[in-house]
Amino acid sequence: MSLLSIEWLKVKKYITFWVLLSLFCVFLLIWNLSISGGFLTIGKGAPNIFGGTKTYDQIWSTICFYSSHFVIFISILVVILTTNEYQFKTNRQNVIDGWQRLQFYHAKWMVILVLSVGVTLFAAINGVIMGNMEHAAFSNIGLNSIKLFWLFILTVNYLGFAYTLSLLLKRSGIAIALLLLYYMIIETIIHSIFFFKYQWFVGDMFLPLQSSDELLRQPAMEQIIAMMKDKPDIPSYAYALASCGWIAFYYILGRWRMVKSDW
Amino acid sequence: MGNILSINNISKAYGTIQALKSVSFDVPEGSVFGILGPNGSGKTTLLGIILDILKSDNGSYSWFDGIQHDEARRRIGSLLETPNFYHYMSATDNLNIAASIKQHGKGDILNVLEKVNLSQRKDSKFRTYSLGMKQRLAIASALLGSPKVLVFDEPTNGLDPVGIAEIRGLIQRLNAEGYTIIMASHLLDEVEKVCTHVAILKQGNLLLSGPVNEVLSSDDQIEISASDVSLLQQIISAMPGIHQVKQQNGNLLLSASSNIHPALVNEYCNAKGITLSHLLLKKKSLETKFMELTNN
Repeated sequence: MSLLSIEWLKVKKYITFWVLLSLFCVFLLIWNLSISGGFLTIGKGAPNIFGGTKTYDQIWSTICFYSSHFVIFISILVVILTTNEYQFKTNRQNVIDGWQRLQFYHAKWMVILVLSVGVTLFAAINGVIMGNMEHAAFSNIGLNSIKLFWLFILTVNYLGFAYTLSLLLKRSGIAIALLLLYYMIIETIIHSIFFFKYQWFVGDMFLPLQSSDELLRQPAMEQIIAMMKDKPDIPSYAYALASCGWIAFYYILGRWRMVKSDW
Repeated sequence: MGNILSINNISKAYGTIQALKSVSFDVPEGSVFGILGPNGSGKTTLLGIILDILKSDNGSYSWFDGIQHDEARRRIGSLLETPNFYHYMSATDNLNIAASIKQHGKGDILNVLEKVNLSQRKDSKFRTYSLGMKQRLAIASALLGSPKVLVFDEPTNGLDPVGIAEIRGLIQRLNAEGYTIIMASHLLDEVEKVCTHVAILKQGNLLLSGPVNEVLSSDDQIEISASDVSLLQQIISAMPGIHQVKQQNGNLLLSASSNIHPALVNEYCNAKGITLSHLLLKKKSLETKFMELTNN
């Protein structure tokens, strides 16, 4: 806990930290309310294809899917927090002052876990707000709530990926550019090649971020994929295990880098 | 007194460049230890290794007779190269982080800021500080918890003359308060005034190390003069223990064995019927010695 309390001292007066967190919260809430309020459609009077919000079963699918897209905001925040340490050389100062190298490393992992819990809790609060607005039966709040756990795993995966990139690249501009490029372009292309060209569906497990994205599919797309022929029924826990495998890989790679390299 | 730090055969290479070659020496408790060398000699690399910022390829080091390195670092105040702080935070907030990592209370923060004359700017953001103020804040951070040992790496680097004078005065005050100081330095004149021990590095090699008096003792010279310099030269050249006599600006410069003191020279000349009009013991400065050793 002392590691976390020192990390708190570092961020509590950092305006960028609060701005990015606020952006995440405000825009995710606006987005979710727009879905449940019926503002997001594909045309006037058109049906809502962004996901159901009438029951908690639907709400968790919808909320967690869209929350997963906003996690990139928090990933950028993790990159900034980490590369700041290299830019200010405070990573070195923390060690000079008496931290072990691994304490520095673990402190940021703790921040990642806290942020991931925060994202999950915020999504849950969004879900309850949406449920109240739609008069969803509160007794069914547990239905499909596993999606919240998948969101937690996805967030740890995304933030761990961003952290590892930051440790390897050390510069915020390059790390953020590569993170966005990989997230929006590279993995999308590879995923499409696996999925559509070779129909190698298991291949998604070998893609760091896609392995978690498969846990939280777009609600409408989930039904389409379920109807696809020849699509093997890969259970969610398999993707969850693959995601955990990737998280373990980031941890080991980062730990090796921290211990062996010059700072 | 024991050793605060023992360095044993430390080597470090950056690719094909050998930054340190099997360097070993001890830093005695209570000493002011100067690590000297030209740019690129390996001073900062050595300090980086003993503070666990850099990894050595070979060799080892031990602080305080072998306690855990992280625990040792919490007992040491260090300023390595540039001051490293969070730019968006005030001096007090930055020192709060350092104090937490060092596992000291916050009670010391105002005291150390007072010591470096920063208490009036304690709430200003670090990014608004001048370079001199940043250096002083780094020294304040190093002083947190009253450590037994201070490690400074070129603490006046990049400062203007006023800033250099400020840091110079501060280091002298700390020395007077009894801190053990390990200092990699460009401050040869200060080092000469305050150092009890010195290690000289060149291209990763340790050229020499030891107490300053021993390092410099064999190089004392005696400058003399009389009304008849030619006669004086003839007579003094015959004195046992005098190795070399050179004329310089109308005086004679004698290189002598370590047992030859100015009083003996005066006595000898008197006995030979010559009255000296000038007699001066010239200790070779650390700077001169440093320049000779490093061939600069």
